[in-house]
Amino acid sequence: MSAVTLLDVESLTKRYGSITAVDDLSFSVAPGETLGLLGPNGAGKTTTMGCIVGLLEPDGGRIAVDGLAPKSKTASAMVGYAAQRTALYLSLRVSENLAYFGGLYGLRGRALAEAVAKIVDLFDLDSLTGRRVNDLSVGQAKLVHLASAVIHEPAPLLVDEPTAGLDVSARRRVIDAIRRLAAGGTAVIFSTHYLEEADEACDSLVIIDHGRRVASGPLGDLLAADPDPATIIRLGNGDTVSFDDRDLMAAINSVDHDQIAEVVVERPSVRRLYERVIDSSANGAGAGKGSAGTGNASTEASSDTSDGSSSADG
Amino acid sequence: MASTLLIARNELRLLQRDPFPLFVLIGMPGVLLFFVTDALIGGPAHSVPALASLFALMGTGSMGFSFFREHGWGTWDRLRAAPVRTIELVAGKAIPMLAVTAAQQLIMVAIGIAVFSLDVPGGAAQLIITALVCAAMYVALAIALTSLCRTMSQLNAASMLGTMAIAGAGGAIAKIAALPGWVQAIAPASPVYWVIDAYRSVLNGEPGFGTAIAMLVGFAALFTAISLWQFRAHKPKEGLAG
Repeated sequence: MSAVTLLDVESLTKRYGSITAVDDLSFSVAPGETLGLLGPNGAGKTTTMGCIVGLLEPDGGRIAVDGLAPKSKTASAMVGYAAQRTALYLSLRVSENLAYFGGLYGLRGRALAEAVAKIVDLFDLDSLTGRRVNDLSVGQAKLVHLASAVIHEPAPLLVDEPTAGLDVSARRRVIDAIRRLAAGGTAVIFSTHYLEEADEACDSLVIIDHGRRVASGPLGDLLAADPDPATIIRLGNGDTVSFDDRDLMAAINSVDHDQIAEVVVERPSVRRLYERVIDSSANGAGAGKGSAGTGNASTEASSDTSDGSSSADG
Repeated sequence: MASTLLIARNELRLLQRDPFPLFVLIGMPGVLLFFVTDALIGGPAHSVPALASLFALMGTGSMGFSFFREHGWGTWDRLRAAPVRTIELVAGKAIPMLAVTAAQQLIMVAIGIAVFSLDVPGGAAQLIITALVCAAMYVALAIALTSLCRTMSQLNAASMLGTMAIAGAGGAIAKIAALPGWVQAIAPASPVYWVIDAYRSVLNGEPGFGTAIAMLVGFAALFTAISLWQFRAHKPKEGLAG
């Protein structure tokens, strides 16, 4: 991962009427870095991506793709975007879709043919190229959708919930493809509600709620700042007792052993982090506010949770 | 320019996969021509361009459909996110529409020549100019209507209502002389009036070719101005999923 950033978002603000969908959001992504943009539905993730790829006009702030304004042709040609919703020409064949989108990004002739062949190989689409999109399964179409977004080898790639609605196998293929792209130097920003995917694929996170950043930083730093592992003891009568304590035996000894049905030790994870910061944000309690004290990670409670959820997308 | 041509080629490919709009635009008036030439309007030099106009106007809905389909398939935003300017995008979609509509005009005249022994005293050059200018006017109208409509239902209603009003007032359904006095008075406000005038010049040798073409260019410019004023790429449209 390089220290040089490829995509810079500074104080991005986007409003829909009286609703602030994205509020003073800042982050940067470096080549080869995979940044997870997480948040509940309506948090402003898709709006943020829409602003970055030039689909939406921000009301404030600055976005730079390799130093360029996102709506410039040069910047547009560098960026790859796979929206949450699969967007393909249903009556055309997979190969025709791939070639068309490659062509829109300036690929021609031999370069285009090679790019199509490469992407077919990367996403293992060989058996699908001759089929019309209409005839594909949801998972297959989603893979083609993602493949068509990266055929021009974008420098930054934005993928919005790429695994939503996919089965386990298709999700695995998508995540593997994202990891391979990042390994090849692509800066990836991806949003997901499957937090274990963020655990697996992300180098860094930005968690937003009501358009505001509530936590951000390198994944390792954020997890290191997590409180002690939790010990959860489920009792035979259905009750659950949780301990934020590293001393497993002390926790177990604090309850009647005959009543213990199950003992679960939760390690620091994106899920635990996410639930903690989103809960803090919802409660406006300020828990975890400020630097977490390790590395560059920071968690911040939303100071304004009353402005309602955005009518915009996730 | 390269993006425009690429988009145009893709439109033609989509049309090839779903050629139904061609049946509306060319097949239906071509068939109808055999039945109504003398009975309804009178004389192939009038009825050929009249029927071509009627169905070209109906075709504005099909032309607009290509924009709504992009929204329905989700590809509109992908095109907007690509390094393609809105003007290139619209031009890319308009070129095949223009070619198909111009072809429709010429095919209808060809049927008139083959079946009804139509003459072309104006010559091939005037005929081609007329077909191209008429096609440009229809395409400009289609894009203007699309820019004004949010849903496909609105576009269908607007194109059907517009077809009846514009074609009716312009003399494509009945001769102008047979229309009520107030309709005769407003007939020149219909572009179809000038379409028929231009074709009567080309096919019957009547005067007024230059004026008719100038008026059609003016209508095309007016519809283009409406599109430039109203067409906003970021405006959502309720597209069709199919």
